[in-house]
Amino acid sequence: MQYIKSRMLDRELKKGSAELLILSLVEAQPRHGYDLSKLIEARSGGVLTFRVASLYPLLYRLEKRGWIHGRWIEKAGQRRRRYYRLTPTGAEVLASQRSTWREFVEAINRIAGAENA
Amino acid sequence: MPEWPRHINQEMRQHLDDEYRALRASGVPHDDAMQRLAGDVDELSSMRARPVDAVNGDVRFALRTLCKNPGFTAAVILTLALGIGAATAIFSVVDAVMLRPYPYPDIDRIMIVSEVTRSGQGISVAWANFQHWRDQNQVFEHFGIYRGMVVNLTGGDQPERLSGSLVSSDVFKAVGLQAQVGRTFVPDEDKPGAPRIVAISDRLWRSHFNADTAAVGRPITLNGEPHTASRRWRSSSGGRWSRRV
Repeated sequence: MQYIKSRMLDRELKKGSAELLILSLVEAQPRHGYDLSKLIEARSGGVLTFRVASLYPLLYRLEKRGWIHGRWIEKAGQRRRRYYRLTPTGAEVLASQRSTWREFVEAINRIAGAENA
Repeated sequence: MPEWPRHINQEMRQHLDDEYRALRASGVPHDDAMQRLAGDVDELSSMRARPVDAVNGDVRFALRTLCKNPGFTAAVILTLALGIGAATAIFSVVDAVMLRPYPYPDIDRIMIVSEVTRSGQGISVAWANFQHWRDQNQVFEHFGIYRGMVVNLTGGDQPERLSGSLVSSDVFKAVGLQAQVGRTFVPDEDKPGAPRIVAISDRLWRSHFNADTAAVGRPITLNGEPHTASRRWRSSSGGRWSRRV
């Protein structure tokens, strides 16, 4: 039961932070889906991974909302890939989500962290 | 994954291919690589197997889109309403004229005989020709003739323009219509100089004569000439050359 609860929390946290992660990673430069997936896995130390069936529908939804924009690009010596870049609207959303997330984490830390201290 | 655009499907395939290549490049055997990708493949397959979810999603999306664009929604609804209305009206006419059978008993035994020119154009049958055909008839049970006409009914509060038919006595027998009140025409009434007798429909009896049973036998004026209402039948019959086999 403990394991299931932990998995549920993990899933919900991932769901809540997924948009923020994608927007953050395409902020500096355009990236394709596979690159995003590998970066998330690597930078989170394997804690966060995205399934193919979750990642691409999420990219589609973000693009539909106008937060990112995808374009097929063919680079020399590489296969043709769809690169996503952050739009001005996406940048505003990212700033807002970052702030909310920071406040949320700080609040959680203030509560959970204090108990542990 | 029919609910996603084509490029998403393409990207998903490409992702799996990239992952497979990466695993193989790192020395993972083919079978193991396929095993590691099985989870993703299963999830993608289950996405394909959820058509109801996809339909629900489409419906919700369509409703949201319609709510956001009231002008477009109104145009769509108006177009649909006009289209459905027009289709319904056309079907009603086709159903009444072509699909629904005439309300006569043994309709498959009623035949219409007409006369045409060499070019196939329909023409009226002369009374003398009809008499010839009727006298030589050996196959039909009844043989009648009629011609459609429009008559003016006067004598009431308001004159009324009615669709009617000039019919011979056998027409009612040919189509199998019985009088509800009064009598049918008799052969002597087909002859020139016979009294002018008129059969009125149930609808006219109710609308013009207030469903008065005493209307039968009472004189009425059609096209300015006196006639006698002889009978009333249950439903108004169409008029054609008719005969029963």
